[in-house]
Amino acid sequence: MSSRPLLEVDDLSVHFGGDSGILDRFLGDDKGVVRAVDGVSLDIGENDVVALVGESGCGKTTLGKTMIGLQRPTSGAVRFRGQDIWKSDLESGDIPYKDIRKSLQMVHQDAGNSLDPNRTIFKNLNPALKKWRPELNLVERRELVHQMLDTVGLTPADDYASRYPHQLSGGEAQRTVIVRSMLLEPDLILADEAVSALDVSLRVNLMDLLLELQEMFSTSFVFISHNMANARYLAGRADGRIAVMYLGRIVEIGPADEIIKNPQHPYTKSLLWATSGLSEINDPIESPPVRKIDIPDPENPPSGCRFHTRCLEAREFCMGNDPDLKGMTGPSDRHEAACFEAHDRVEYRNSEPLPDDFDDTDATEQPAD
Amino acid sequence: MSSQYTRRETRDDGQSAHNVLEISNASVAFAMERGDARVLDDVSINVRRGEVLGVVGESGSGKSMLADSMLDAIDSPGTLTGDVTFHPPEGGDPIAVNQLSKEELRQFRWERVSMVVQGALDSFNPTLSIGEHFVETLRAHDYDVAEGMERARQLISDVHLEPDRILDAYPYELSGGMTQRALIALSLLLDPDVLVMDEPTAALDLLMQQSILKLLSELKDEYDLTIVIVTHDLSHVARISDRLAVMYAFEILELGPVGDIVANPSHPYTRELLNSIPDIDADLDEMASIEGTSPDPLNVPRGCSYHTRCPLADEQCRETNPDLFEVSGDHSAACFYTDEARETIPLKKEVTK
Ligand SMILES: Nc1ncnc2c1ncn2[C@@H]1O[C@H](COP(=O)(O)OP(=O)(O)OP(=O)(O)O)[C@@H](O)[C@H]1O
Ligand code: SF4
Ligand code: SF4
Ligand SMILES: [Mg+2]
Repeated sequence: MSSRPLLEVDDLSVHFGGDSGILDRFLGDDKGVVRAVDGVSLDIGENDVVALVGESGCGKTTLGKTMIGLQRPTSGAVRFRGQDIWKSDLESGDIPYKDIRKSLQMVHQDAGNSLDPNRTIFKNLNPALKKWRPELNLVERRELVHQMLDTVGLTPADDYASRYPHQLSGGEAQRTVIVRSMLLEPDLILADEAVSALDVSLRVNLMDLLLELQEMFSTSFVFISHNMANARYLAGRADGRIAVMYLGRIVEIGPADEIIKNPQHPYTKSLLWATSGLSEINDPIESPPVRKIDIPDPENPPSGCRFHTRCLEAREFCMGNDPDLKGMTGPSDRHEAACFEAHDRVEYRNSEPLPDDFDDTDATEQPAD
Repeated sequence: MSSQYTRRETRDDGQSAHNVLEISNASVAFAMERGDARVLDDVSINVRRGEVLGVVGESGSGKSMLADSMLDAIDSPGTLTGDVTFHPPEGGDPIAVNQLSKEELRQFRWERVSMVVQGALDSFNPTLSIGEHFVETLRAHDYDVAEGMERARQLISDVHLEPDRILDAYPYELSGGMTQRALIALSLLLDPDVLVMDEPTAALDLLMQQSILKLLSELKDEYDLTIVIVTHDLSHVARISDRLAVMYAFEILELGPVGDIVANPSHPYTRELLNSIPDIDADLDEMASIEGTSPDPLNVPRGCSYHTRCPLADEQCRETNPDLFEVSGDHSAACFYTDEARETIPLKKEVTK
C-alpha cells in the first residue's frame, strides 16, 4: 500500500428523510430521519480488498454507493487520491469528475436485470467503452470485449458476445456484468452481493475469478456481503480486511483472519454463529445468540451502544454510553472494535447485566446522565 | 432392469401408515418450441409424517417442480403425470391429490398441504394490510373469522412478531425477514398437516435465515407439522432436516437420513456438492466449485444424467440410468460406483454422523 490511500472515507454520514427506507415507516413514526450511514471513516488503499458485512438494512449498500460517488453524503467527505469527489467538478486543476466516475465502478447485486434484454452481450458492453474509451475504434473495442470474455471463461468469446442476456445462466450473467465493470480499468470496484445471488455450488469459482481479476489489474475491491464465509474467502485470499456494519456504523474491522478467528464484538460473533461451518452441519439447530431477531427501527436507533437491545453481553452501562471504534491490543494493530466488553471497560464490568426479559421499549429514551 | 443391481425400494414403501404424502412416478413436462421439456423425470418419494425433508440441488434441477407436484400446483402449460397420494394423519381414506377438482384442490392447499412459494416476498397484495390477508383467507374458506383471528395472533407471536403492529401494517412496511415470517404464519392459518417451503430464506441474510429455521423447528413441534423444505444450500437445511433428497437433472439421485448424507455421501454429485460449499472453517485453498453445468431439460444425457460431469463415468454409465439402490438401511443412491466414489472424490471435510 502506498502512503496515500486510494480512497479516504472521512466521518461520512448519509441520512434519508421521511419515506426512503424499507423499515422507516414501520412502527408508526413517519417523521424521522434514517441515518443509513452515521459517521463512518475508512481508508481503502491501492490494490486493497475490504469486505463489508452486516445484516440487511445495516447501511452496507448506502455506504458503498456513497464511496463511489453514486450517493451524495449528508456530511463528511470521500476523497479519491486526496480529492473530494463531490467537489471535483467545481474546482479547476483537479482530477476531472469524469475520470473519477470512470475510476470507481460497481457490480450490481442482480446481474441479470442490469443487462439490457434486447441487446446482445457485445451491445450491452459497447456503450460504456465508447463513452469512456473514445480513443478506441469499433474493431479495437470488439477485440477488447472478446479478450475480457475470454479472461472470465465465457468462451468461445464471439459466441457469447452475440448472445442475448436470457441465453446466459445466472453465473454467466454475473460474469458478464463483472466484465462490464472491468472494461473501464477502474481503480476501485464495488461488488454488492455479487456472489450471494448465485447457487452455493458456483460461488467459489466466481470468487476466484474476482480475485484473479483483482490481482491482474491491481484494482481495489470493496465487497458487500451478508455472508461471513464469502467475506472471509474474498478478503482472506487477498490479504484484505473485513468491516462489520451495524445500524450505519462500523462496529468492528480488521484483517480477515483476525475477524474470523478472534472476533471481538458480540455482533460479529452472532454473524459468525449464523455462518456455521460444515463441521456443525449435523448439530441440532439452536436459537440465534441475540435477544431479538429483527434489527431495530433505524429511524429510532437505540441509545448508547446501538446493539444493546439485541446484545447478550449488554449491561446497564451500554444503554447510556456509546462505545468508540478503537484498536484492540492483540496480534494485529489493525484490529478495531466498538464494544465496552471487548475493551474491558471498568464501568461496564461494574454495571448490572441487562435481565434476559429486558424490554427495549424505553431504550431509545435519552438516559438522565 | 438391465442394471446389475436389483432395485431396492426405499424402506418406507408400502408402509403408508407412516407416510403423509406418497409421490409415485411423478413427471412434469412442458411443451416448448424446441421440443418437450421433462423438468421432473419419474420421481418417487414418500414424505413421512412428522419429518422435515430437505430437498437440495443446483438451480434448475427440478426442486420447485417436485415441491409444486406435492400440491398438484404445476403452472399450465406444464403437465403432471404419476400419482400423488395424501394420507390423512387422523386416519381415513387416502386422497388422490392429482385427481381433485379445482374446488377440492383449493381446500386441500390450505387445510392439508400448505405452501410458501419461491420468491414469496412479493406474494402479499400490496394494497391490503397484513391483517386483511388473514381475514380474506378465513372468509374464502368459510371459517369463523373471530376464532380464526385468535389463531392468527397466536401464530404471529410464534414467529416473533407483534400481532397488533403486524396486522395493521402494509406489506411494504415490513423487512424481508418480517414478511417471510408473516407468510409462514399465514400458511399455517387453516392448520395444515404439511408445510412445503420453496427457498424460504434465500433472499434473507444469514442471521435471519437461521432464526427462521429455528422458528420452523419450533412450529413443527407445536403444531404437529410435516415440513418439506427446498433449497440450493445443503449446509443450510442440514441442521433442521431429518432426511435429505439430493436432486440433479430432474431426478432424485440420493436420499437418506441427513447424518448419512453428510457423513457418508455416496453419489459422486453429492460429494462434489458438499465440497463446493464455502466453509468458514476450511483452509482457503481447499474450496472449489463443481466444474461444468447442469443439463438442459431438452437435452438430458442418456444413461446416468451425471456422466458428463462425473470423473468415474464409464461405458455402463453412459448407457444405463442407475436406479436408486440401497447404500445402507434407509440411505440410497443412484450410482453404479458408490464405493469408488468415496475413494476418487475425497471429502474436504469429514463430518461425523
Ligand atoms: N413454465 C416453464 N416452462 C418451461 N420450462 C420450465 C418452466 N418452469 C420451469 N421450467 C424448467 O424446469 C426446470 C426445473 O425448474 P425448477 O424451477 O424446478 O428448478 P429449481 O431446482 O427449483 O431451480 P432454482 O434453484 O433456480 O429455483 C428448469 O430447466 C426450468 O428452466
Ligand atoms: S458495548 Fe455493550 S451492548 Fe454494545 S456490544 Fe458491547 S457489550 Fe454489547
Ligand atoms: S452412475 Fe456412473 S456416471 Fe453416474 S454418478 Fe455413478 S459413476 Fe458417475
Ligand atoms: Mg426453485
